Amino acid sequence: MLNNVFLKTFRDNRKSFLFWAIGTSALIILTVLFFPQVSDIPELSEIFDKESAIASVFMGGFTDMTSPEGYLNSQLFAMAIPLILIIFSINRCSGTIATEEDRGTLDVLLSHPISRLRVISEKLIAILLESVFLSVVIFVSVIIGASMVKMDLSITGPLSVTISTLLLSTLFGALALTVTAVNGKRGIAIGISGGIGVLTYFIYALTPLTETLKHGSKISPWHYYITADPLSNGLNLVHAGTLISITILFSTIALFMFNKRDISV
Amino acid sequence: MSPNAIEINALSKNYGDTNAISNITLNVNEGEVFGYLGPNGAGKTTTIRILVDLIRATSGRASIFGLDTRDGIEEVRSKIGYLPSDIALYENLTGMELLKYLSNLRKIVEWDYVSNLADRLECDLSLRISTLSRGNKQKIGLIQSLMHHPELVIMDEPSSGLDPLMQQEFYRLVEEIKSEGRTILISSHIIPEIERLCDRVGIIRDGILLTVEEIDSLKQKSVHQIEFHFTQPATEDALNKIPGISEVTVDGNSVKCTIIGSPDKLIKAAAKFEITKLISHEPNLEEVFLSYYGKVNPDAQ
Repeated sequence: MLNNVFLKTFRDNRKSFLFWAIGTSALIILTVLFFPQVSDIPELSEIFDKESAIASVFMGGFTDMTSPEGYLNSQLFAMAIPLILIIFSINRCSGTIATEEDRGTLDVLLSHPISRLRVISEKLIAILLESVFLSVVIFVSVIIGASMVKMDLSITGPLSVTISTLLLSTLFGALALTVTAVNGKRGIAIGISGGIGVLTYFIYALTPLTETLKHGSKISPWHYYITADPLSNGLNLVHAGTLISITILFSTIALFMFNKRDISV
Repeated sequence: MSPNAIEINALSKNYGDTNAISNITLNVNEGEVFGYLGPNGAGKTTTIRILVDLIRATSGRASIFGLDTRDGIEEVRSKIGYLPSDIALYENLTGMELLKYLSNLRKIVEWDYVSNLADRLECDLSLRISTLSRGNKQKIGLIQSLMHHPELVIMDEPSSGLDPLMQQEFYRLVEEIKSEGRTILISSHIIPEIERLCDRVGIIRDGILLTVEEIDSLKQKSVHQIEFHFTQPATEDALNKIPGISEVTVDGNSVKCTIIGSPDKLIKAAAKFEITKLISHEPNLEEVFLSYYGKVNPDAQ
């Protein structure tokens, strides 16, 4: 596990990853297990007005809680799961450069014949793979939970929405990376990317309810994550492509800025 | 190929309005031990971190074995060993795990030499780095900078944290590296260490390279504060005629003075009286600079 920067990144994160995986999986399975009770009360779906701010902010506008897709969307994929993956991604990406720079270990590492670009790329690939593993945990947990309560659910739906979540969280991770690539401060990176994550969530949830800013949600990454309802309709390639493009843009800026600047003492 | 291991040409680094180093030009010959001497905050670490391309110069260039430290840095790094000041290591690894990781990045290392170094420095590599004292971390830092037999070793305050016995072992290591014809750059604020180890010395203060000298000529100028305690009241007269003496103060039976260069004549003059105590202080660098270079023109070299 100490053969290169890529493997060492895995090694350093392995224990923490285990806890992330256990916690996320438990949350998902427990939530899905409540589905039979909820689906027995068809009136629940009529409590929330689809156009209300509460339904929009807390359920992503998915008010039909009696169908498998409506239940999973409103209870998990509208907010809880993307939030977990975004926090995970921001946490990991903000530490890519900043943790080693803060502790001073980057000085020794970079005195070896390995370029800055190589160091950051190997770390990023490791972190991306970790996010993929956590996404697999999410997908498998949904499938396990669904089969336990005999939910009528396709495989492609949960797979599509999990991929969409992965793309959304990676985008915010790339933003956090970009901030540390510029100034090396992890706290600032977490604050800025987390803050933008929350702000763009509210832009996505609230602007469609107004007349004047009806299309305002299109500036929010959250729009490209869930508006096309990948759980019911499969992955929207245009939306997925938009998220990937922005992530690549952020990552490129991060690599360029990090390669240019001084490493702090 | 360039005959110089290190060539620094008009190197400057500014942080806003502050000049960390200004217009430093310096060559280190292959096979020599070069001392980079200056008080804390003088610009030693700034210069060294530019050489390793951790920070970028505002202007000027540097090369190592003829390779530019910006464009050819990966090749440069394959030829050097670097010991940063106040070294930080991966606390969650053991010494051995750390050295394995770093050696994997170089792909060359002789493990016999690693265990030899660890034995000589009395360093237990099986311990987790987080449990080690500063001195023991420094030993691991030394090993990682030497384990691949680099052609050039750059060490920033290498003996800090080492106890006196280990300092002696470190000095022997430096002499071995020199005897193999390899080059060493040592930065330090400790004059006796530089005097003992180096062939030449560059003295830096406030980011300005004041002088580059052979170590022998520095010795001529070295400053000592000496304090004698006699059995009888002392007088200044006997000491005042000694060349290089200054700041003589008499207090009852004791005399304090400062001497530049060899203290031989002073000791011989004092030995005519009965001495009860003799105290010799190594003056700090700032005093040396103030007494010698206080009015030096920054452009003079």
